Amino acid sequence: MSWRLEPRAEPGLLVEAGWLVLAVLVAVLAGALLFAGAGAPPLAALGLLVTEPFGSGYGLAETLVRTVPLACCGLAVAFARQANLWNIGAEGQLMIGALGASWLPLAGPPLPEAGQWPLLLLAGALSGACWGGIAALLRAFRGVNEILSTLMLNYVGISLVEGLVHGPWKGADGFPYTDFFGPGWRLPLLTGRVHAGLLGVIALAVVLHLLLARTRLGLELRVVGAAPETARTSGIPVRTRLVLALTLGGAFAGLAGALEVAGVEGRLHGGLAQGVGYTAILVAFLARGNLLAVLPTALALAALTVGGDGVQMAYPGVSAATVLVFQGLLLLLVLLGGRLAGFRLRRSPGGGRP
Amino acid sequence: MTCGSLLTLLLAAAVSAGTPILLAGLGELIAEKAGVLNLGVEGMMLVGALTAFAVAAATGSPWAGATAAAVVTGVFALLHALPVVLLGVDPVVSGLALVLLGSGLSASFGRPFIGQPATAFSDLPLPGLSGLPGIGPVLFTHDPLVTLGLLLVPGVALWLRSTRPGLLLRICGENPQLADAQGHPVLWYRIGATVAGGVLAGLGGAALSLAETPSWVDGLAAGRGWIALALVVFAGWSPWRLLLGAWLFGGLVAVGFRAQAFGLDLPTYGLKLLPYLATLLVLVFASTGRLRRHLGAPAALGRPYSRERRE
Repeated sequence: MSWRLEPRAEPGLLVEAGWLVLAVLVAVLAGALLFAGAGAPPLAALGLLVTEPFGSGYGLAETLVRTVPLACCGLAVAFARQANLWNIGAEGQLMIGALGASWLPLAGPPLPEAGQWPLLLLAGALSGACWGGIAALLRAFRGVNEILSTLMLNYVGISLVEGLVHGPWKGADGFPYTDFFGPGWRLPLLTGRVHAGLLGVIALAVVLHLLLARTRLGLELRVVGAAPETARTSGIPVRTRLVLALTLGGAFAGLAGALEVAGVEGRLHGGLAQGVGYTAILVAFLARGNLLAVLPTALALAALTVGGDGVQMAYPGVSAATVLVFQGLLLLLVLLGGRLAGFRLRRSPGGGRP
Repeated sequence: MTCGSLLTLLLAAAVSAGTPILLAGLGELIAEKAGVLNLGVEGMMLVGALTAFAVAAATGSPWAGATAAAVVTGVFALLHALPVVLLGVDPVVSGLALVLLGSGLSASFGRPFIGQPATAFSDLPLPGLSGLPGIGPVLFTHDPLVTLGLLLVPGVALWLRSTRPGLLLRICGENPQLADAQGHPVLWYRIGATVAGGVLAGLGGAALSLAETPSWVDGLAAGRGWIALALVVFAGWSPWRLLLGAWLFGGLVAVGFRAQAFGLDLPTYGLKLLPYLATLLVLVFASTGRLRRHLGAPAALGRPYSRERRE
């Protein structure tokens, strides 16, 4: 008599939800241990993770501000996932988007004030699309693995911005960031620090969701992702669709960069992305390919960032990177839980081996 | 400084800077030969680099540091190996989780070590060989981890090619059904190979924090783990070609860091880009047409194996 795991035909929703909850609980428990290890009282620190992002008007605004780039980049990853591509390059696409957006006020032609910020966002999206497009073309026409190429482009993109703000674009005070841009380049604010980009990203998610669910193009992307051979025999232009998935993804991440410049920072500097592009992978993974679900998962991870900052502020022993550890654990555990939901534990009579 | 001695210095720097990439790449090569794709190399190198730095500082011995890095990173690799090999979890997501975990853990625990002096390896010239004109100072006048890398290349190549367990490991990566049918423990081979990959990535990290740039900063690996992954593809899963690739990239890294020391006036940020741009270029060439067919990716790379679900 022995126990063995055997595959389950169709894990029910309840089973999957159960494993998800268990995975999150284990991650929270591990987080508590991390806090305790860093000398913070675990329960109070865990409490801060909730009260900091949601407990005050200021905290809530901060959470929403951080949700915008995470959701944009989450869409960038999740959209490419439809065609079974891994866009690990949202970080670099965001930076290049911010760079392209900043080019307009810094070195672009003079524009009437009314058209300034919309064009800045467009410039950001286009620059991000170009950056994603490099990896897209390499993948579609040369078969270059997009995980490695988008990742290499991250380092290049960040270094380009660093080089510019340390060099020709350095501000008047000599520090490595540009001067502030004029009021026409800034996004309208909704309340407090929350800018109009929040509404924009919600609209974007809805439009993309409809595009994927209702249009022929959406279906084509999924077929290309799930069964490239079927796509080819059904006359779907596979290469063009692959290029489209990664390039549009790049545009969304580039838009995130432009939104950060025009909505939050008001200028360009090298620390704009701060790992948002990597957290976005987790955002997209937790959303499980559903573009609408990217919004709540981005909100949750933005709250985690704000909460993490709060804990770090209250207990100096806790490092900023603890949030990163927690994200890694969450990714691993949710992945594991999702997989285990597909098995059931059975007691098999007789020998252990089938 | 004469032209010859400048060249010697640059080549020696290339070999030194190539060693972390070489060690990590050899580890990934072994894991991939067994059929396990591990994208977590960057995270594993960071864990190894910090462990090596911290243990060396605590014990005063870089040897203890490197050993600890190998052990700790080997165990860390189990976080990838067990779910991927035993449960068939998506190796891409699991590898990315390893990168997040490795960067997070190393940055959290590394805070007290930032700016501390390293208990670094000192150069250990090889008796007899280091006196050779030309290649002596380039290859044989380095820290022990460089020498380890030089020994491991023929060692791993020979082991994979000519020994029975080496052949079995390759069969696990090419045709796990066959290995299983003949009664060989596919899953153990795959787990073992992934752990070996972790051990070598840890040593690569140690080569970084105790020899190449003896120090600790957040994200010390700076993409070397990802470059190592790309080089394994470029090398067509051959340890010898991996060695060439690692030296080439070591050269680019060395030029980027030392251009000013060599009296070259080039933009710093442009030079730092060199290894990443070169990796892209290398990927373009390694991925195309005839060359790709000529390279041999293990047939079952990244595909889970289980008896119940035959694919």
